[in-house]
Amino acid sequence: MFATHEAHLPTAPSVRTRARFPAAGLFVAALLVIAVIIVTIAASPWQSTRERAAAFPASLSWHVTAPAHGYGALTTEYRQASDLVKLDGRFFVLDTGNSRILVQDSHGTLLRAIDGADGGAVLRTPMALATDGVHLYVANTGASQVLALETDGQVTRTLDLSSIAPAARPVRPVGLALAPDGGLLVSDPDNNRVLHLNPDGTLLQVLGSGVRAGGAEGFNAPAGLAVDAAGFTYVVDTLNGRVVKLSPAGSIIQQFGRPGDTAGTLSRPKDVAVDAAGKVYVSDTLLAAVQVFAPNGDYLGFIGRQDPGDAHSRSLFTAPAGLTVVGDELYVVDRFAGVFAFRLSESY
Amino acid sequence: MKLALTVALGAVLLALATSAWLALADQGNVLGTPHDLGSSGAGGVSSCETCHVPHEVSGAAIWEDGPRSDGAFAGLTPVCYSCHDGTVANGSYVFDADAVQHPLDREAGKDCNMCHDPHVSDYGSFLLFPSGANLCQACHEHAGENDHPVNVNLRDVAFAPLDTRWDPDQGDFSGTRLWDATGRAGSEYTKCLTCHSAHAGSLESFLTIGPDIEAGISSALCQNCHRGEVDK
Repeated sequence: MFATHEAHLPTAPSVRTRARFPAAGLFVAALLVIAVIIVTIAASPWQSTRERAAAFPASLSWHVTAPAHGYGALTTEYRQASDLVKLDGRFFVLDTGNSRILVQDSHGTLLRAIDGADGGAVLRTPMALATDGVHLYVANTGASQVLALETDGQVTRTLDLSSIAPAARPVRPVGLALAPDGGLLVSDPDNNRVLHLNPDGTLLQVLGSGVRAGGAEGFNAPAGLAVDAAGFTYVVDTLNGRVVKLSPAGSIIQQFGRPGDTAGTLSRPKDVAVDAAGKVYVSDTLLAAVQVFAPNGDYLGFIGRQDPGDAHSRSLFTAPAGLTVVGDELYVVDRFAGVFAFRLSESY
Repeated sequence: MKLALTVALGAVLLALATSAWLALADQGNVLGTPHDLGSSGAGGVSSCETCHVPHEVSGAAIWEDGPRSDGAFAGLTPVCYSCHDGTVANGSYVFDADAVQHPLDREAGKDCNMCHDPHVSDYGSFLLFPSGANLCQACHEHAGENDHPVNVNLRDVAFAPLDTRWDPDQGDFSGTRLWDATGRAGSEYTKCLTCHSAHAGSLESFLTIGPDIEAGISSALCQNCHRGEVDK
């Protein structure tokens, strides 16, 4: 009896202890797991950004900006400018909010405006510009048109997209590029597709499934477009957080970036440009940066922080959108902060 | 001790369950709305992920929180504008530095979400209020009582406004809009939003037709309906 009692005395507490420890241990483990998850979520993106932050060598050459005021005043003040092309040594800046194109010299000095006066093109919230080296092409977004213009603003051709490519929703062109065959590529985000038009404006091909799709199946609100020297097309797939490269036949063959908001990922990509070496530049309105990728898709770095080596330093941009590469210069059109010109390093 | 641990564990589980329920409830509200923007197929993104990125993100609301040069372009505005900038959606006037916008008070927590909840589409335009085009009355309680009458069918009073189109998406920043009785769709009734717009208005009163200074008409808005009744 005594021995039995003795035998139970040491075992009873240990039994109770084992009975308590699983519950407390589970609780502590749960707390630890939660703490680890919180710490991981809170810290890892910043660590990741710091680890992978890289400044792409680009020096700011000039910056033309002014806060916009009033409607239609002939000034160099933009109202939500969105794109730019360089032609005959002059800059044609798409002043979207004022529905006009401002023609400026290489110093940013205003030469004139294409705003419907003098029989020139009448624009309605245009979102994209392109050039074939002779003419200007304008995505006249609010009118569902693409216009071909002389550099003096006279319209030489009007492509009515509502009759060319009818769809479930009215065609709303927001991206524009010259195709290698001399035709036009037009992004239509409301119908999740890119239109390939013949030079005469007839429809050649519809790229994308027409519904919101990812992977190799299509696009989710495609926006900016670019074509490289080899004839490959680049499409900003905005809501899929990526840029895709298309073969000349229109198949998706490569992807740049993935959804995110750290260096090398894309939050709200808007436009894309490709330089002569095949490097891919992507503007991101939400990240307030331009990110740079190698032709093989590797992330090279970002442009736009006041301290190029610190991803957390203040951005030069507010809402970067249109991109254009001319030679070794990159032009960034910010919806609010104006036009930035960067000299790109040749050593990268 | 055991009771305290049990209560603590229960509180943690309750908080997690509540968070999950709220997230699922929000997702359920978004599905089928204009904010249901997810994409299908391998490599597609869910509707949630079009704004909230579960990985590679730095902001507290798991969306971008990057440093910007413009202090006015802050809070919720950048994420709203990142689609409503004329690309993914029309509506670049939701943040237009050149237009008069309804004031926000971000320090007091009043941002775009003082009128809109992107997860709730019960009242149109993701508004928080059921009053349609009379939504101003949700905060401005006495609006309309001693002011120009609202909810008037202009056909009954034989007024025919000259300009009934106000459509900044198409570059039209001038004009009055008439509404149906519910204030949800276009028709013949005056509502608050006949003369005002919280976005892209003129002057401090967010008027949809500003003064025509060149013509010397200070009451261009009034004359849009009351032609001949209002002095210049």
